[in-house]
Amino acid sequence: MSEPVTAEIDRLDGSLRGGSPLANLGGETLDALGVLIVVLADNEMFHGLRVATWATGAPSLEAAVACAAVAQDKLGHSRALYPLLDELPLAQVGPAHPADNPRTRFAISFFDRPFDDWGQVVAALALVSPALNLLFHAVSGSAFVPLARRAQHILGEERLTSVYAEGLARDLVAVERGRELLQRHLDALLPELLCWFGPPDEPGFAALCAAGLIRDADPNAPAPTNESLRQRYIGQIAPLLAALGLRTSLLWNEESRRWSYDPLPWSRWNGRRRRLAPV
Amino acid sequence: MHAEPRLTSALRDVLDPEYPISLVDLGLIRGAVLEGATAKIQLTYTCMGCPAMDLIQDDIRARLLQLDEVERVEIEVVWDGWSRKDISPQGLIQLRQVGVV
Repeated sequence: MSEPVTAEIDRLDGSLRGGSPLANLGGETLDALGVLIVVLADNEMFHGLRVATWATGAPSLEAAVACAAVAQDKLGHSRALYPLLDELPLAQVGPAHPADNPRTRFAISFFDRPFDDWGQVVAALALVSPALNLLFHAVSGSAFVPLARRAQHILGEERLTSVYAEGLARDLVAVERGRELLQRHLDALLPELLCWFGPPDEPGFAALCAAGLIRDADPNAPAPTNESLRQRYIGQIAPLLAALGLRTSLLWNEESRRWSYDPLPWSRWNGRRRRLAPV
Repeated sequence: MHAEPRLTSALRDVLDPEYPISLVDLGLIRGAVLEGATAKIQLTYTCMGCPAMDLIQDDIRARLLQLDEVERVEIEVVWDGWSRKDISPQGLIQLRQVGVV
């Protein structure tokens, strides 16, 4: 379905290619916006696809129904996000970038292959979704109004999923084998998810913030940085991981009021596609 | 919401594909204006994974094109937030009758 999102921009900001703030952005900022959108959309799509395969293999009927519902939500999110790319003047994303090809993925490597076990479903819902939701929060007041509206809608739909994911994680670790399974996936996922917020002072991220394209709908929310989002993410997941009895390197430092973590594998990090290369 | 009564009245004939409630009473119509012979509709959905999006838009077009003054229909999906608070009192009654809310 093609949505006339241009009309939304026109109504609020004047002509898209005339008076719109988007029209005055440099190519680098527009490119960063395009990558941001495709990163969100690809991660939602692959998350939905991976969870969908478990709608017929979950450990209980209720979980199977939930997998179908969650997959439907996430695929719907991606379906609503992709058309935004058509509205960006000068955006050079995906295949248009010389480093990319038509099969380029902007989703985390954890989604590269179908999930082999239930622990991957639980890990994705409990750990990946909160990371994505933080970024949706960060654009919920974006000057690119169609993106902001979609982000707000997505966050509304994600509330129940977050609660459900925590319950799934608690169920899984109730048996030792489940805890070991989740620990293994956590160990594989966490470095990539911590990298996912980008290295400190990432130029594209800063440009998007300066242009108001990354902006929280809450006017009292502080302007985000790569590191502040990473710290917020850790602040969200660390208490749950501790309660689940899972081991991490995450430590709260009362003096600096920050979380510390093991050095991140930036040498394997693809900043454009926001994913880790294989070891 | 800017809504012209004649358009809104016609849209009350368009039912949600799953439940016997009109799109208007379900709170999905966020604007309905007539500019010349073009009906401009602003629409949201209950959820982004709604499998009936295209079907709903087709039904809106088909109903509005039955009006003499409408020659074209433009539908804009605005993705305004939706919750059960957006359901009209009449809609709540209809849904209760089928055991939904």
